[in-house]
Amino acid sequence: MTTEAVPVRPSETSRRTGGVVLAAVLVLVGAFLLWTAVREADGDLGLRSPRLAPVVVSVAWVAIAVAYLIAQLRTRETPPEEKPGWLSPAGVVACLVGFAVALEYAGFVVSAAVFVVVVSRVLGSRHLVRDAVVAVVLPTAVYLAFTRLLDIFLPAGVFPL
Amino acid sequence: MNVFGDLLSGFGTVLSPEYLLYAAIGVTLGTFVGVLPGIGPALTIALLLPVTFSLDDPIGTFIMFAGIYYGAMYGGSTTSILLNTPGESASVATAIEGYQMARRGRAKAALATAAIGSFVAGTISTLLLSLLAQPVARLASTFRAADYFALALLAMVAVTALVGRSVVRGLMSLVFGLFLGLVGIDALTGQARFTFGTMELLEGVDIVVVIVGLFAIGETLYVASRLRHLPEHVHPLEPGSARHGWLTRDDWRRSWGPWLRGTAVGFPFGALPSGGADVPTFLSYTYEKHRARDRAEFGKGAIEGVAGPEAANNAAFSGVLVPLLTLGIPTSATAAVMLAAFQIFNLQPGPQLFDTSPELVWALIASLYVGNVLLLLLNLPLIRVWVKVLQIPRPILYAGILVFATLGVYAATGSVNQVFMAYAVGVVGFGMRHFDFPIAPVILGLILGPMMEVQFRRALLVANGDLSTFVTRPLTAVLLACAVLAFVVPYLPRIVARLRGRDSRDEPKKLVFAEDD
Amino acid sequence: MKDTVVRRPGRVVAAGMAAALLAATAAGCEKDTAGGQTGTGEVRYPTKTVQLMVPAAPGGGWDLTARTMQKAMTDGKLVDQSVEVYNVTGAAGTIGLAQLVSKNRGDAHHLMVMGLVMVGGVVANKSPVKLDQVTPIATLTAEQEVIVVPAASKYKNLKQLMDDARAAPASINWGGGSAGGTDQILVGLLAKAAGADPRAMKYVAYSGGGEAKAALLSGDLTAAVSGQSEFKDLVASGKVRALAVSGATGVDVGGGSPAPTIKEQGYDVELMNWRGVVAPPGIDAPTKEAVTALVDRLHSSESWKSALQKQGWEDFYKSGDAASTFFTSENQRITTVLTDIGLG
Repeated sequence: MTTEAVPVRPSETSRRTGGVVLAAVLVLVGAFLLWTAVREADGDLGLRSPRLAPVVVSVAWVAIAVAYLIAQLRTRETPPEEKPGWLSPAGVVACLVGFAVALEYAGFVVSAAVFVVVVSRVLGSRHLVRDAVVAVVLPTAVYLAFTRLLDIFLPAGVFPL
Repeated sequence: MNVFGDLLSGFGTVLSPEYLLYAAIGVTLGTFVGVLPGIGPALTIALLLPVTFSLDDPIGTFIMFAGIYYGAMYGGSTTSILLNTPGESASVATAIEGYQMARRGRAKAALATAAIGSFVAGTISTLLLSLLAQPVARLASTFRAADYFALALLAMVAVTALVGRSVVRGLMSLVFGLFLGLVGIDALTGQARFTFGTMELLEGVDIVVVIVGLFAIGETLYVASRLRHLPEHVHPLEPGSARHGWLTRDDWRRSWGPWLRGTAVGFPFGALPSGGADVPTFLSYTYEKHRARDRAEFGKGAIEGVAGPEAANNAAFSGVLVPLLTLGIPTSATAAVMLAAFQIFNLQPGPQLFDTSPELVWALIASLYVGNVLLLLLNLPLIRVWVKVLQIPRPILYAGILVFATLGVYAATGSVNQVFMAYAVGVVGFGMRHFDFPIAPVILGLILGPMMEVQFRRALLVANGDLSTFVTRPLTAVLLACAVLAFVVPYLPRIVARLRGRDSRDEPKKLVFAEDD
Repeated sequence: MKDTVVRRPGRVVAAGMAAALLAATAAGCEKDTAGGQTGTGEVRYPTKTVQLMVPAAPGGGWDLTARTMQKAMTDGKLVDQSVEVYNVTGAAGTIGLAQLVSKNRGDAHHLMVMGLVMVGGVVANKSPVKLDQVTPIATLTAEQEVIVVPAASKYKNLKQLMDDARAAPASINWGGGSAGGTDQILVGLLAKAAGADPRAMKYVAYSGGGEAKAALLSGDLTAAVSGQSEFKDLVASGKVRALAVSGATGVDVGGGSPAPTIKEQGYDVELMNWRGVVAPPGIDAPTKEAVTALVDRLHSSESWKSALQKQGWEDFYKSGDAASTFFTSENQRITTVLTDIGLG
């Protein structure tokens, strides 16, 4: 839905290998879910039982994942195009985790400020001063607006305003 | 029963400077909070509800509330269109085409058709609410669990078009959504399912968390993975002309039909005691896609795909007020919050409300008209401002999206664990984008799956396990028959071909393993 | 424009801001005594912002209770600190309970609103964190439950309904709020008192009173159980009939005169959907007393009394040892009945 109009598509080769790996993982996850569902059901699979739907859905999961795996194995290889980077998304995820961990200890303003500076670097910004200004102004303004005007609780942390 | 007299007196109440100010405050607040990426209408309203606590005047509160709702709704579509970060399920359908329009520089037209469509749908459906509230409510309250199951099944079959080009990927997304819908405590028996022994999963996976994760966070990660290949500016922007409300003659021609059809789907669906605003947006999208002359344009920024769902979305709100005001039944998250607001003033909406507090009810209805107008007045000029969002340098823009998404989830749930859950879903969303899985079916599965399952089991429980409950009532039987038809019709040509003995060896395979884009 | 945006709702907010400023200065001056004891042996409380946790989404009964408390405390100047309300959603409040116990241990400035629903939730969800781990402070309000049938129903009183429930349990579709909640608890207690099998009661759970209302009107349900105010308007308009209320004395649930209690109709069941407030574990006795004193002041304030009246809440105040005893006995009773139903 969203990938289609992006100018550069992921390489077909990497997608194929990736696709096969993904399909295999999906089959395994499906199998695990099915196992969980059957175990939770403990034989109680009447139409009115809450245990039926999990089994039905995980059976469907496995079936579709297997179909996907077959489809991936049949895909022909095409010449590679440009590769997507893995470093930046991984960096963003790391920043997010840091942000969420720091949120309740350092407070919203401080953690968001640090987060904005670091994550903008990861996302390719080369204007440290600009980022810093945004990082200070935006979280402070949001914090004040939310807690003072709207009475919505945000963690104040080490820097009570 | 003089509707127009009552309505007129309602306007008399609302059109005082003080109440107009409340309405303006509400619309502005709603728009500005709703426009924050990752913070959708339901969240906005929940967050802003306490603000209304500080007013002592019920009429003022509701006028402000209606304003907040319309503002939040529209603010939510703005970010869905510009940044592909819908904040709730009712904006997901809008994001599909709206975002593609924005990428092609047609952001202004998309925002305009959304604003004007919201206004048209809001006004028509409010009119329907004023005229038909009582009879519609009587009709809607005849729906039983078996009917809801049939209706959910019909909706599910009808919107399978959203599964997208690759059937197997679309189904995988759908099943993922169905799975997410199962996690947590079973609504009927209180038993835990797929919780893997954790407390956090007992409550289930919040749809807002899923949407924020899949869209706001997933999109950002996807952008991050392709930084080197992206142009400097987020999207180009066509100048557009404010003279005809940012829409070209052709846009107008293509928009008015979807607006009206969206209204026609949205209002009745909203009025059902288990309807809500999200399903009709998907139905409207599917329908517009189905009847479009140039179906290939869908997925690439067809204006009908924005106009229809936005209208459906807004019309559903007036629909939601029907059971709320006449029976005291809240049918959406927003309506539940509104019911709470009634209860703050110790008012219990129900059949008597129109008699016991006519001033309040009609003022509320009148304020819907006023809120609609204010919204249009505020937002058409603001389009100029909103599209400036696209000129924010990419790193700052996406950093901001992540901050707001985190903030929204945290403020709504009060739990860092939910924030982590949104991040995890975001990583999944990134993977889905990378491997070209459609996102919308996840949301569909998450909405319709639990509805189907719970209503099915409820119907059986009520009927003591007798399956014939699904065919003995005419309403249920008709709905089920429609669902079966909707399922079979697309395959009819193929079946007919096979019956005539033509070679169809490759056809079924193509159906299941279609990989062609 | 932006200024006008916040003017009206800002009244309370502005007061809160002033209080917060005061709080900041106060906290700055008295750092050494903050949270500690003064010379006289009495504990100063609160010495910083009071954080009031609502273990549910905004808009529900707990939320309303917390925000009313907040309003009464600041309006009545019961505290010179600000009071903040925040919501932690999930699983009948057990997520919030777990958070209070794990994260706020020993911090008396975090309080949590809770009630009967949480007692049931802990049992039904098999929550690893139990209610006896927190420090009970007080119960505040309570609402009765009401049992209603459609106007066209053949059941004119509770006895007829319960007789059928005993003789042919499959013929009665009970409906109400979420599984293991107050409504189902009442059905279980009632079945037991009427000599029927609680496990055989066919209870259809809905996500809230509204949905149950729709199901009752559509004909899916024989009888619905809900909070006393939920069906007021439908009772008043004659669409449904109230058979019984669950308190000690009858209340008017819309019919114009008090509805009969369950006890009056011969079943020994009394159930109040009460709400109260608790503090985290690890709080010493003097501090607990100080918190209780604050809630005592809250309870006797004018602002609180008028709020009770406005909301139609019954005054259900128990603090100190009375609260502790009550918590324990409710816990026992609810655990037993939920086990009987098969949810324990």
